Amino acid sequence: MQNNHYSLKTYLRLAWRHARRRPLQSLFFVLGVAIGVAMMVAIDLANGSAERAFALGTETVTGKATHQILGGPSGLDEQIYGRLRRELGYRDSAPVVESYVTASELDAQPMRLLGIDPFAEAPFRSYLGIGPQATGTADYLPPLLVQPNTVLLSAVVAERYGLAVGDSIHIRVGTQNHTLTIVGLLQPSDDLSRRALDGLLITDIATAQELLDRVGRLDRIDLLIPTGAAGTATLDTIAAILPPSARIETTAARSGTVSEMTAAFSLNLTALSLLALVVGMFLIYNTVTFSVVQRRPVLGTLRALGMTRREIYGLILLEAGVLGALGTALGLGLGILLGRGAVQLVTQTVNDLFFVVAVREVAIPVFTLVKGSVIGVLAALFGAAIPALEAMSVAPAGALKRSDIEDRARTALPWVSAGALLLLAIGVALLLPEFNLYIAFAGLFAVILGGALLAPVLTLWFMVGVQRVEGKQLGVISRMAPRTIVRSLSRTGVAVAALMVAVSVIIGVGIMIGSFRSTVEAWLEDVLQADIFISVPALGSNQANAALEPAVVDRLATIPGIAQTATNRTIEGVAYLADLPTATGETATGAVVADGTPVSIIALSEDLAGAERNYTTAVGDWQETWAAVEEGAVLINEPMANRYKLRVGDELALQTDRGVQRFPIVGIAVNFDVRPNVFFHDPVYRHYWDDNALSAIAVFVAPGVDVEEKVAELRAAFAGDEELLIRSNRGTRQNALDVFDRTFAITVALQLLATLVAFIGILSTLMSLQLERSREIGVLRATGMTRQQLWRLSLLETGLIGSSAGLIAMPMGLALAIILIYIINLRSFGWTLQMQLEPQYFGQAFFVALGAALLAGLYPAWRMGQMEPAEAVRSE
Amino acid sequence: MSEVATAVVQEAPNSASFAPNGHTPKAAIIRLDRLSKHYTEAGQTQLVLDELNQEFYEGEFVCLLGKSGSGKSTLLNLISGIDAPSNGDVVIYDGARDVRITALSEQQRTLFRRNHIGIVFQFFNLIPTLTVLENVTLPLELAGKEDRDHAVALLERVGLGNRLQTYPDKLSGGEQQRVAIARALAHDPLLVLADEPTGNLDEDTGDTVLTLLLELTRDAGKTLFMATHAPEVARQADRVLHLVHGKLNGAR
Repeated sequence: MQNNHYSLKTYLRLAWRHARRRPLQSLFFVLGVAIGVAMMVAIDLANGSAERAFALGTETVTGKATHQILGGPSGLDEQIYGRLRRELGYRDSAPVVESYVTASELDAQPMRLLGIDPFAEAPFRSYLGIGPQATGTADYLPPLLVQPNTVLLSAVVAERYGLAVGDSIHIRVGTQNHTLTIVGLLQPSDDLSRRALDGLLITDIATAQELLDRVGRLDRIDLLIPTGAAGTATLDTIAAILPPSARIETTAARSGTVSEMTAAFSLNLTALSLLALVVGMFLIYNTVTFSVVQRRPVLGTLRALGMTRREIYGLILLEAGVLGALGTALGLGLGILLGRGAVQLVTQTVNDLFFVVAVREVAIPVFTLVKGSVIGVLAALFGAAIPALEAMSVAPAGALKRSDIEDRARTALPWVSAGALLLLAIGVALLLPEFNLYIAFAGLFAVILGGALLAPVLTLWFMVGVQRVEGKQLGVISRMAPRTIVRSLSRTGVAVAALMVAVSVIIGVGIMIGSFRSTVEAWLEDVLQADIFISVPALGSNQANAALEPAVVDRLATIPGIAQTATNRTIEGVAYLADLPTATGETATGAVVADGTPVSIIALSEDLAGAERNYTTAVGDWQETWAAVEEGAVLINEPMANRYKLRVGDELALQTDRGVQRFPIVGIAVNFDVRPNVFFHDPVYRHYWDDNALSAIAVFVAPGVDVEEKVAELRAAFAGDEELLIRSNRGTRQNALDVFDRTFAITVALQLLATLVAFIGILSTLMSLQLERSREIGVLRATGMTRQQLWRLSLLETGLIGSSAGLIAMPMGLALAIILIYIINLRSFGWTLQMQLEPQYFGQAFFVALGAALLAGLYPAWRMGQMEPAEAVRSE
Repeated sequence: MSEVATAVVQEAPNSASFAPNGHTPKAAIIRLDRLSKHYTEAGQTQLVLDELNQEFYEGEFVCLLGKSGSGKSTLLNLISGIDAPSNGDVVIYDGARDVRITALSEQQRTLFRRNHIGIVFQFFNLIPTLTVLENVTLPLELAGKEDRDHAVALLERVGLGNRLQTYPDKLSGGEQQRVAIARALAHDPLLVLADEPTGNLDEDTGDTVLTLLLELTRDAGKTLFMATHAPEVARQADRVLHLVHGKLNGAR
């Protein structure tokens, strides 16, 4: 035991002294790990924060409820609640009216306006501290119940925004503005209630009904149903008194479907965040190889002095572990900082594409930190494992020469290349069959790793080619550069591989985003036919609760210069894609007790896209298909068809206000909504749903009318308390593309960081090569090579490394683009994209590789020039 | 060139009466003028070369003896301009005028070395990425010249005419040092500096290499300045100097 203690001390001393002598190399190692870990932690925090914020928003507001009674677009009649309590005597129920609103005094962040019955609350949301039994509520309960437009909010929030009891806040609900008075501040009793209260504005249910224009209606009724037979019986009893438009869902189902929806998005980001760590492992490999090569006499001496092979292996891994731990610690800190920025980007995307979520704090879960730590240290150890094996093979008295390592690397090259081909084959095998997304990503990483392992042999061939082309035409410096790269292939090959991976990802993701953008642009061109679009400002992507009065259409008809209008109504609906557990729902009376899948139901007054609408499959041409929709059939979007394996001819069971109804699918339309979409003809929709509201109006102006002028005129005409969004076709399209660009902002940031790691990798490689060659450089200087000639030599070498990486990255990037477009994207989101190959992606990426290499070469070249030849040639 | 001119001592070179091996007296080609070098480490100054005054002549073989660490390599590095002195001057006559090496810029010293000095190192120091022939033509190529035939002829003289395209790592130590000798002479230098050229070779190989080096430099009429700690090498020298405590003592 004591022996071990001493040897560990010796190891640490040796490691520390070495690190101190080569601080830059140690710094590169630490940075490589740190950036990799930081990216992973940042994305993990961002994904986690958005998910947790959503969970808080739903689950904590749902409270202890096990089930919910839900209605159609117009909600539930509030008399159902009365019948539930009076006729059935069922007390474990609480009515809720809620919506997202913004308040100018609260930074205009989305807040959930929760209208509740304080007397029914206690069993459900006890942490709100509301209810006759709760202490300290007496003061604010009477005004909350009696005075209109009164609100409670968290004392913590009030303090944050400098608000007090008696102050007013101005909220915006859809197109309406209202003023509310704060009548009480809720003191959170613990951390959970603090976080739950953070995003809530609580009003009496009657106030909420008035504010949200839902008098006499409820959004849902929360239930506490026991498990087992008694519970099932209770559910059946409740279902029997419900109208066919209602349904009963478990509360667990909702958060489940939502996390399923964002899972693919999170996974894509996580995969991309791992990229920097993969690139970082190449850097670690290079740094450790260099430290082993450089210390071969020391390692030989240690072996001669009695250190066993295993101890040498342990020494190298210990060093890597310590530096890895340092890098990991730094990476965790950096990741938390970056995470705050990433949260903004991720939250914005989640809001744009999926659902309303406001992240008020970036929680730092221990799990994320532990995961980051373990992966960071493991990556360091993994990257160091092969060089540590090399170190083991150092014979006593340091017989291992650098050229031995190169010889061994050269012998291993065919095996490495064969391994690369095998990995590529495995990658393809994992990608082609329709396995789940995780396996597809494993396949993608196998392809990337396979490509990286091919880099050394391709670099070798490239350098041989360069020498052939050059022949004898060029000077000695041009001949030396490619040979130096070949001679140090074990390191230069790895540097090329790292840079190639980063650059090929830039190409692959660039082509994917570019193709995606042009596909979306073309699609917008097709579907956005009208000149002007009028809608209600909605928080996030969710248009369902934002409604326009049908009277707007009538008013439009009176405005001159408008040729035609068409309408769109979008609501959040529910589809039953599995067999229903009971037959009750299929009957005209009673409600379904089952968990459905949320879908967007979109009712179109006419098919404006017409011939321009692209169908992946349909029952006939566009006219026949639309005629079928007018007859009562539906269209679904491609993501929905792909995700749920639905085909033309299948029947789709939807919850309507007339109970569950089945609709034949007659077409699968190409569209880029991540959520499942079901398209109806407007009259059919109105037949099945008791809803007369509109979500958007498309306006065609008469020939010769200036669209922008008409937009201004409409804005003036509708100015007042109704805040309508009136945008021209161009503005609408731009808005959609802005959302698109925001979505990919984080992707670009992640790519840049991975490239930064590759850059550090090249810098580290060049510096280690330069240190190794210090004698050679000394001799060259002694023989008469000027500093300028040395610069030329150095930059030529780095230029060749960069060019190799850039050239190999081109086919690799193309392969990645194909995988991303046709496999990952399709399986993640169900989108079919048209690949657009533009030479600029390849050109830019090549120059990124070359530029990164040359930039990384500047400092080593400068150091080479500064080197004292007298020192360098002195002795071995 | 005008900058080089500023470093040129305008007066005529020192005349001398030394006649190596009975040849006609030659002019002094290297002059050390109060040349000193000290190193400072951890606040302690160590004087390595202490105000050396010495002249060396054209065609002369000077053997510099001294223990390890006595400053032999330092003196060679100062003469070649690889290193700079703490005080004093090194003046080399380039055939037309005296050039004060110490007054040249780093760039000028490099160019001077490239044109006028050949160096043979103890550890051969061939460039691993260049073939035998390319190693020899390296000084010429760096200067933008090419004289392949001369390089091949030199390699044939050292017995490696059949190894022109071989890389250094395939050569034995003795062979590598023979290539280094050819490289040192390829650009027809005024002066060859050899730093323990046999120090890393066995005795027989060392003798062969030494003989070759002497033959080639003498035939070409070059000055050879060799640092060594092997007294037996001194037997063949025209002049032997001992470097002891930073001072040069003439033994012969």
